[in-house]
Amino acid sequence: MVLKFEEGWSSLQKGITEVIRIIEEEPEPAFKPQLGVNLYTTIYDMCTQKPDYSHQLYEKYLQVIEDYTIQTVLPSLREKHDEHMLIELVKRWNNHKILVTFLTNIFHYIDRYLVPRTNIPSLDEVGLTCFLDLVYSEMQSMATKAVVALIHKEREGEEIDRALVKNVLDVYVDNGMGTTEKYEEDFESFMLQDTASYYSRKASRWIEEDSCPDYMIKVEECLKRERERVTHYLHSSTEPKLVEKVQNQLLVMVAKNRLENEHSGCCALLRDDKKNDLSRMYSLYHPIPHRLERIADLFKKHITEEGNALIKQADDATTNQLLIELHNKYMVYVTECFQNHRFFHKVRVCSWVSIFSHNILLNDHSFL
Amino acid sequence: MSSSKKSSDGKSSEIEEAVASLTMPFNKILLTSSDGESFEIDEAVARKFQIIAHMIEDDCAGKAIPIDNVTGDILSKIIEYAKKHVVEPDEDEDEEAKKKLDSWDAKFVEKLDLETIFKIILAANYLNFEGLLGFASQTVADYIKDKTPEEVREIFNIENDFTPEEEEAIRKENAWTFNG
Repeated sequence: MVLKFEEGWSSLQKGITEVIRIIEEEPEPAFKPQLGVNLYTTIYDMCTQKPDYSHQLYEKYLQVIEDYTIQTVLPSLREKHDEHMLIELVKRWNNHKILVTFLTNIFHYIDRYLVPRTNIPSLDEVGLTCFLDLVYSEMQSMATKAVVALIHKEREGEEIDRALVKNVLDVYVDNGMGTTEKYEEDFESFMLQDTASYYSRKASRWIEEDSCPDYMIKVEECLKRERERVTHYLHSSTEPKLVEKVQNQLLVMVAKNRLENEHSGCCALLRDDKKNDLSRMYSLYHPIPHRLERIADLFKKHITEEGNALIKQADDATTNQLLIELHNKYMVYVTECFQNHRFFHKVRVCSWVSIFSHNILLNDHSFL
Repeated sequence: MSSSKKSSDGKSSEIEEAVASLTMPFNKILLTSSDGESFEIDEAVARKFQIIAHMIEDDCAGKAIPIDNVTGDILSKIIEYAKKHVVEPDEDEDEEAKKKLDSWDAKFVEKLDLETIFKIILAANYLNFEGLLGFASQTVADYIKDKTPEEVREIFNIENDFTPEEEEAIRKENAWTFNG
């Protein structure tokens, strides 16, 4: 019994309309086996009979998805904004995946025979690309703005729907079709830019208001929160890039102002024996070798000045003893605050050589 | 199309489905042939049929699946084969098991007439049961490889649409294959 195309397609269309209705209306779409089997069987018959309608059915498959997307999905998205739009976007992507999965299953015969034979894209590929081309491409820039706004809210202390953000970002990742390209280009780059501006503004204010130790505590907290942000909803590959932006604004750009601050910078902390603050300073600047070296320089300058001052003040008998005490004191800094980092070991040695040679030059021949 | 055929049975299949989902033990699937015969099989066996595997993955299998295109006698043979082939032995690792299975396969088809094997091929294609489709097709291929064109035409009911001149030309071209 040969099925005419119009006849067969008309019954398929009824079935597919029912499938779409189930996806649209039911909170947990579930398909009765009879529906899937009926549709599969009709398509199978239309592809195994003569004339074989595989080509036409392939076109119909694509058309069904396109029509649904253009007539139902896009309008519903366009009428929503901000967070509501994000919720709708996530829902529509999930629905799309369910629809494509169901349709690729009933049209599976075409994937088995027509696709390999004629080298056309698989049903899965055309089905998912339809969303990418029609929906994602239109909505992504608004979605990015909305997500970046939510992140800003969270940075300012408000609670946001983290699960929603994660689901939205998954849409970006999924539409990269196996790469994180879309996520990086359409979302991450904007988010990072916004992060840099945000922390640049914060830094400008904080360096006016806060002492160096208080500032560093704030920086520590910021880095912690940003790392948490990654675990909550950002893609793991974002972490190093995000941390780098934050460090750049909060530590690198303001390094001179913070480290060399007369009242509370590095030298002041050394002077006042603030080991905890120095430890924090070390751990914050440890990933930034260029600036860490500056701290080492300041450390060296401080030790050398103190050593030389000591030599000037004390008399011959006690100088060496005092120098040894000074040495031991700063050894503790190297091990406790600066984790025996090689920059600081080097400093210790250099400054000692310079102090001792200075001392010898000045007066202590007997030491030799 | 199939739904009009089953319009009187529609209600009974719905009831059957409902009963099945309440009474079926975990991991069992109920398949019903086009002529109403039912087979309760393990999920692992049912998964050999790709169309059912897809349904199970999409969570839409429920527990009772109507197999509209296959009659009970053919479906039972296919299930018999699927049960034996749930786990395919690795040729390298377990030669013994592979030999045993191969000899079971040989006995399986020996008992079947060509008509039945054709039906099995069509059903395996419909169900997307690759293993059996390949095996059954190979069986038929082996059967016809030594037959003359006339004999093959008779088996498949193919009309000879070559003119005598065309046929003569083809025979000349492929003469070497006829002298084996």
